[in-house]
Amino acid sequence: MGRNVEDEIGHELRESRPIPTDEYIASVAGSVRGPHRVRGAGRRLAVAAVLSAIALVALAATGGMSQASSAPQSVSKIVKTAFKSKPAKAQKLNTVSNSAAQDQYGDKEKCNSGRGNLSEGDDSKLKNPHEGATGPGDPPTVDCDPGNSGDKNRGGD
Amino acid sequence: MIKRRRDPLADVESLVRDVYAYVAYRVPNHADAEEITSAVFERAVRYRKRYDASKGSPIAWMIGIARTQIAEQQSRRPHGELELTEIVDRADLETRTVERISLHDAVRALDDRSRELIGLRYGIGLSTREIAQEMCLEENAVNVALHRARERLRAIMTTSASIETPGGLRRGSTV
Repeated sequence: MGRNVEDEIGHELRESRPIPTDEYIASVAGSVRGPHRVRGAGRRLAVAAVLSAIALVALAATGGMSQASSAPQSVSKIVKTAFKSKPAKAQKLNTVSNSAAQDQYGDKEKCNSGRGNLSEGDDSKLKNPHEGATGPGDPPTVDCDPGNSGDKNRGGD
Repeated sequence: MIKRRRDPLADVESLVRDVYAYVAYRVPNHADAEEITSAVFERAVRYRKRYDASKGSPIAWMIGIARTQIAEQQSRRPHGELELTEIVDRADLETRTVERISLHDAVRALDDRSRELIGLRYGIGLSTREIAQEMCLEENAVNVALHRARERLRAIMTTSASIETPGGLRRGSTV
């Protein structure tokens, strides 16, 4: 009896085993095989790594490596210098202080002659040309006034 | 112990058929079976590098994943198991005619352990020895449990047939 039940129901269970549709099988199989493309990408990466290694070996053989290794040092030196120096000093102009051209005029005070009225603006740095000796010869005297510069005629008459 | 490298999803079409059959015997409808089977393969793809051939066959590995997925689904839907009366009522809701339920509906009326045994034995086609290894049971215990499951199936189908035609032919009986 038990064997008979095994045969009947067991056979029917085997025969009527649930079967997925072909579309469903294909969709699941497709999603499973998808990551294999990533494995292909890994192979490409490996090829790229091998090629890079070959290039490095070639550079090392021709001395390119030492040049390449010194490049970062020089760059770091430049960066260090740029950050160390003060900006004001870096922008200061390089001028010649004791040149023949500067010696010709010497270190003289500025004169206001011909530049306008002394009463205008900041006159602290200006010098009245009529005070003291500003040039060769004596300071002007009353005798040397050639015309009518006052209420009296100081001329010869 | 050295891990033996082998792609467990090499024969994917065959695995889809087996896993689907196993899952379909365990869950109430085909939509759930497809959903769970897809989740099983998604997880298998994610963990395929962890597969160790020395610990079992690819289908045994997949069954382990499927069990987890089914348990997760059942925890989300605690009323997944249908009673026989529900199945009959659902089938005849409109026509008011009681039809003889199918074998698959009868399987769904079994308890979870019996459905698991039916799924492994007749869905995937494992031998009783393989089932015993899978479920950590004695081979004899597997044979006894399968026999009881079949008896229960027969009883369910007999009840259904007697509802349809009192005194009529029983499903599966030889004419």
